[in-house]
Amino acid sequence: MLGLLALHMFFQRNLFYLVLCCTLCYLVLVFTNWRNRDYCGVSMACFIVAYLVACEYFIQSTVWHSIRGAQIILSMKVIGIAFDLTNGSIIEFPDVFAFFGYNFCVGTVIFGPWISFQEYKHILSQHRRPIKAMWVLKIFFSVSCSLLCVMCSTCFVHWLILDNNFKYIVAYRDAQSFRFSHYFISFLSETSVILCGLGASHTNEEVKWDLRVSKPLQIELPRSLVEVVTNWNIPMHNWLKNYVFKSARPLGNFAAVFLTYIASALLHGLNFQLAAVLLSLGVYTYVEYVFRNKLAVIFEACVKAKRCTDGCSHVYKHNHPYVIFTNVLFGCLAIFHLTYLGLMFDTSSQDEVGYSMEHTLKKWSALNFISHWVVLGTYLFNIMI
Amino acid sequence: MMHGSTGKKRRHKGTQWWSLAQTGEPSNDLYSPTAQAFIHSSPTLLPLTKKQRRLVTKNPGTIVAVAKGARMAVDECKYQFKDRRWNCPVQENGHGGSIFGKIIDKGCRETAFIYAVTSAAVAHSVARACADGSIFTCTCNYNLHQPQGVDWEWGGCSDNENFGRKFSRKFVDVAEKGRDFRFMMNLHNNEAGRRHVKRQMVRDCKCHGMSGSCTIKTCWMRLPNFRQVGTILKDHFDGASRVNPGNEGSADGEGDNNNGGRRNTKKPKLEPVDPNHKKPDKRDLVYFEESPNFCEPDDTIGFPGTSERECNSTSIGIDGCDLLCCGRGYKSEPYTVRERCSCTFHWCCEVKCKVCTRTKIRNTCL
Repeated sequence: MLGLLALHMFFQRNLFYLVLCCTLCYLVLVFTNWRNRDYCGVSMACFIVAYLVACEYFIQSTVWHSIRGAQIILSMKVIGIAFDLTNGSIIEFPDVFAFFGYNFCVGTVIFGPWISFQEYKHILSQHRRPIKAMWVLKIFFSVSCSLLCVMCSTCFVHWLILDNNFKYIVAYRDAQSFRFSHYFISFLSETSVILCGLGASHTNEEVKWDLRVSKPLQIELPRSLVEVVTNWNIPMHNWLKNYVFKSARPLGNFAAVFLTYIASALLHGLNFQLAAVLLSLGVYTYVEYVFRNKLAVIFEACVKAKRCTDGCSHVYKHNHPYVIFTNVLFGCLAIFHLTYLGLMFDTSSQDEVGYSMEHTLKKWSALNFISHWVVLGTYLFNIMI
Repeated sequence: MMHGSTGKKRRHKGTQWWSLAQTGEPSNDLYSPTAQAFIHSSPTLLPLTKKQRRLVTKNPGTIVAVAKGARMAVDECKYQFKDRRWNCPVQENGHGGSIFGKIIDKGCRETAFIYAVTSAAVAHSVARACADGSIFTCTCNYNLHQPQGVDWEWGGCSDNENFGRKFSRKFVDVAEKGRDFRFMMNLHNNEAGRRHVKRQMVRDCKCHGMSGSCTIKTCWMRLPNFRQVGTILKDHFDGASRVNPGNEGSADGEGDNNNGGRRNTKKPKLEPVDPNHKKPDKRDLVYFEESPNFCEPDDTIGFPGTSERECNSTSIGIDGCDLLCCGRGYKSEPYTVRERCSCTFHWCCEVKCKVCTRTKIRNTCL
């Protein structure tokens, strides 16, 4: 109920679309559950995609663009429930109140993050509310981080790097401004969900408030693009991993990765810009992953896209100078790719209605599609060695 | 116009700050430390009146903004008038007059434009400098954010148009004291310029939300590009209203207009010459003299005439040779240029060009 109020505060009458979507989803869920529980997940996914397409075409673009964020969270939640029903993680069929309560939970309805239905149930069944000093501290930390990020995003970045700089530097600035805007939203969602009492990890009676939505440090100074993608939105990453990647695993690695990114792009709505960025990212991460794996095998060094575990079998560990050098080099490459991909989320007139295809292509061609060429080069090199 | 020499001198003193436009020219960058040091270290060199100087010292940092504004105004004036007979010529300082020459002693459209554009430029550049933080006595404007109902948005750092306008009013209008009708006109045009700056303010927003969606916006008010202000002022130049100094018709006389107003004992009203025209509002430019035709060299306004000016032989507009040369005819001479041509793209990523020599024709007025 509170969630609906919050939605109303943000979107006024437009919350109708979200409620409609949620109601229809429930009907779909009831129907498939009655016919055949095994098809819950797939049919729900299809329904959501259809709904998103319909929204894209029938809702005014400004409105759609403003509720899109909430819609993504909602889609993730209902698809999550449906798949859980299919594979038996949820045995009892959720009643109307639980379903709506979960989807419109006040802490996650607007900015996310995605939390699983089980987590939600768990918090309801708790007797004692573990509100402690750590809780207050965590909230304080998240709020200050979010404020810092929004200031960076709108002021500091533009103040430090002026418009008349070299075009790649300006591109870096625009991309960074966008990234900080994302951190702001992430920290804000962290705050809201923790205020709700959600998002704690329970290890034998001990409660830790360690939920992180994104990790700015790992993104600003990345080891690899894979790391960036993982840390960009951790709950969403988990969702994609659990529900898409694992289901698509039998089709092969590349197909699974690609399907994951396609799912992510579909969730974000049918937007050329986002789809282009996400699919590019998919290819980039795949190439990077394969390439660095090969290098790691050849040189027996810890240069994989992911950090080595302590007991890895490589000869050269992560503190060897050459290994450090290589990793820094790959980090710089990742920063460069990020700049290139994030650059089109700039503050231009299309900000409020979503960006068009021309905008994307114009921005990229201004930089000669350089990053795509680099990746192609990397891939060819990878095949040769 | 009967002006004593003292009056003339005083008025020129007030507009001397225009010559600040030339201080930055050698380095072309007023933010460089040398240019700043030059301006600050020699305040006596400043072509300002006492009041202006006091205002500038009270608000450290404004002098740089004013100089930048003056240069902006000159550039804008030149740009907007590049195709007209009067092309906004700027003289080297040293005449003791204004850098725009004696045209400011007239009361014609061009005069009106000069006053409006300079005052607007100061307001613009000071307002921008406030938001940049380069003026110590003002900051961003935070007052622009009013919560409008439930559509609550975050207010950001807006350009401080308010401070800029007030500063410009104090700084620029100080020159125009007196009850003279000409002063009235100048004040009106100054204010009109500033109002256009204010009117052109736009709201800029940045979206925040999941993956580039627009759940929250942060907004701030941004000044228009000064080119935009210049273009609008040029439009108003074309549509400027010619005015009479009220019903009394006494255009001049130093401070002798206490003689007849019914209510307006203080200020003569700006009435349009043609009673069928609407009264000029606060954003309209006003003038009371027809412009000279600017064809021949004219010493009274210090304009060299249009001979030797380049013109466009194919245009039928004011930049065409017929109109620009006032029917005196023009001479065409060929000249050669070397330019890059037949450029091809080579894989990858290089553009190779040849250098061609081409003959073009330059038309100049006789």
